[in-house]
This record gives sequence, C-alpha cells and structure tokens, in this order.
Amino acid sequence: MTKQPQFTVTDKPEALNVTFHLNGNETTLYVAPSRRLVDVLRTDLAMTGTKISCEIGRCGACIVLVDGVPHNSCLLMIYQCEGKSVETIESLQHEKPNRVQQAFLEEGALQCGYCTPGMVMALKGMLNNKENPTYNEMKEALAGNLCRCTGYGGILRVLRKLSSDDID
Amino acid sequence: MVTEGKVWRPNNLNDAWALSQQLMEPTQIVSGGTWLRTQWEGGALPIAPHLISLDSVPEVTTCIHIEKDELVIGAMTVLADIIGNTLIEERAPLLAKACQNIASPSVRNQATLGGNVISRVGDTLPVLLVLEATLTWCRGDEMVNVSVQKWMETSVDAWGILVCVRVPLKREDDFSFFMKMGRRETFIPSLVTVAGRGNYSEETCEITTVSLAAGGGNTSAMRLIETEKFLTEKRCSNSILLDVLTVIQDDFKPSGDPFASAYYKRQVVANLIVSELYRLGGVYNEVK
Repeated sequence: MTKQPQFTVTDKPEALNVTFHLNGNETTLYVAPSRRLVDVLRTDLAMTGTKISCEIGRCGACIVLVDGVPHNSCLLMIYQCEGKSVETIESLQHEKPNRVQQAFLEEGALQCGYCTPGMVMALKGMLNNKENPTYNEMKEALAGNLCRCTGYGGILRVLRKLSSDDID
Repeated sequence: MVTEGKVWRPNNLNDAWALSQQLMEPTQIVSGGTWLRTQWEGGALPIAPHLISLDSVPEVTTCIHIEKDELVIGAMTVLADIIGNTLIEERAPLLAKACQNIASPSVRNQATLGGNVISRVGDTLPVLLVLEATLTWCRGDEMVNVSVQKWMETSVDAWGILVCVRVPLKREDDFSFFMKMGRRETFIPSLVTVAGRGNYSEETCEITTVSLAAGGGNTSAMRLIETEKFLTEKRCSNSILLDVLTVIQDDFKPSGDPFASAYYKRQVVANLIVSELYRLGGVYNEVK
C-alpha cells in the first residue's frame, strides 16, 4: 500500500500565506506561491524601487538581497522567500545615503537611473560578504547588471572608489 | 503566457516521488527554478499546473562531500556554493570553472547544479561528461545510478528525481580545459561550450587517454567519441591536428539557431579543441 504523502502547504492552489522578513519587518502575504517576487513587490506592495526589465535574469535591474546575497527577483518565486530575509532598495531610505549610493552620486554614475537600484543592491551584497573587495571582484559583482545610458565610465569609477586596490 | 502553478513542498524524497506519480495533471519538479522561469517567460515551456519544489527535501539539499572514491554533490547545491568550495577546487576544478562561467553572480546564488543538468543544455554538462560523472535518481524506494552519458541518450524524466551528481576521483589528468564562446559576454547564452581532459606522454609525445565533449547554446552536450578514438595513442603533431579539425566537425552535431549555423558551431568547437591540443606540444614536436 502506498504511503500517503505529507505536505507543508495548504490544499488550495490559488494562494497561501508566505511569511518572510522584508526590509527588517516580518511580513505575511496571502499570495499565489509561484508568483515572482518582483511582481509582489511592485504590484502588491507598491515598492517600485526594484525595477523590472528583461524578466529573464540577465539585466540585473530587479536585484534584491535574499539573506544578504544578491538574487534576481524576476527569477524568484514568492514561496522561495518563505522564512528568509529580503532587502530591497527601499531599505536604504535613510537621511544619509549609504556608501554605495554616495559613490554613485559623487561619480555621476547614473543617467536615467533605471539600472541603479539593482546595481546598488548587487554591490551592497558584495560588500556585505567581503570586507575589502578588489576592483576586479567588484567588477565581477556587477557582471549581471546592464546599463544602457552611461557607457559605464561613472560606474567603473564607483567600483574603483569602493575597492581596496586601485587598478584598472 | 505564464500562469500560476500550484506549489507542493514535500519534506522528503519519497513524498516528492509519490506526488509526481499520483497527481493527475502534469507536474514539474523545481529546484532553483531559474532556467524554468526563463522558459516559461519565453513561451518555450508551459508552466505545469503542479510545481513540486525540492527546497524542503533534505536528501537533495546542498552538500559536497567525498563518499568512497567519488565526489558527491547534492542536486540542490547552488552554483555559487560550488565555486570556491575546497573539495571541488581540489578534486574537480573543471566543474568549478564551468560554474564560474554560467550566468551572473546573482543567478548563480539561486541556480542549482541539478537544474543545470536537467536542462540538457547546461554548461556543466560537457564537464560532467568528460569527468564521467554519474547521476543518482530516486524512484520511490529505489535509488538508481546512471552515467551522465547514458542519461543524455534517454528521455529527460525517465529516471525519477535527481538526487545528486557523483564525480569519480580516481584520475590524475595531465591536461584539462573548459571553454565557452558567445557573441558577447552578457545577456545571451553561449554559442558553444567545450570541455576536455586526458593524459599525455612527453616521452612518446602521445595522448594516452582523452575525453572530449561539446555543447552550449541550444545544443545538448555530447561526447566526441570518434575524435577521442582518432586521437588516442597518436603522436601529437601539427599534421595530426589538421586531421583532428576535420574529425571533430564530423563528430559534433549541433543545432543551428538564427544567429549561428550548425556549420559555424562545428568550426568553432573544432578550433577551440585543436588550439588546446596544440598547446600540448604539437608545434614543439615539429621543431624538435
């Protein structure tokens, strides 16, 4: 006789409660579990700081931190956030810009600004996990982020400013 | 058009298997989900009405360890955890190199080895083929081991749920390589991916053993068996390498796509492999 499987989800396919920490606040949402995190953030929660562009994980505009590590929120389903800590660009809404934001401002590293939130979060993730990254490590951290305006000059200056060495 | 699938989160392998067999509608096993999402968004694959997530199944979660004479890597191990792992660096550096060259850091934090394998076009596959890796599958109460090569010749879902990848440790390679070529560095899949390993006798200037594989883009990875046979125990020389160029182009059977023909991909793979073999000493032998 086949053993009956035990499941950790409700039997209702349309929606279930997903609990996670969003920018430090415990959040429970009743949502369809296969919805993308980026849609939940932008549509349900009106948190439009996280941008959406390519929708296939290749441009980095939608990068957020999950448990401190960069993830593309267009590839992440909301159920995959269960019990985790999600940080979006809105977590940096302080009077004083953080180190990465300040470098972007000082170096004029944005034009239209659409790619900037994803880049800031990708670099914040790198700095979370490595205290003194080199220029090449910083460059690698931005390997999944595209900018269509700036020509990258200002962005590369940001990497130089934030890195522990000063090589090109 | 992507719609929402119902998500099941079994907490053990047996339940995951039972679910995949008992649900009356189509099911899709989900590990990281990065490749699946791109397929759903692009309309290449419909989202199944039932998604069976493996993220709560301990038997497949992240683990990298040595068991007897094999390196065992759990199917849910994310690519980022493979890169820089001491065991992998020591015992299967080619696999670490392949993972380092897949997508971007943020994708590698979510994409899993199992998902890359199951896609049939993942860049780890040429490496796993030349390393003669095996895959362990769960079919209810039964665990089945099958070589990557054999699995590539059968239906994707013929074996059950992928539990882990096993890489044999017995080899001491004199040479190994992994290369990926694309039209540009970001935003597109590779055109071709090649991997190779083997042994070379400096005394006789012969390749004594060799394994070669190629894939990439929309082409399922494949071993280049005829090329391996042709090369084995032949004295390396420039004239042999010229013949190898032709043999590889007959041996590799890629799919063309709107950007690159099958003929072009065959040429690129042949050039990449021959350039690596040339480094082994073909030119020096001519000079000596």
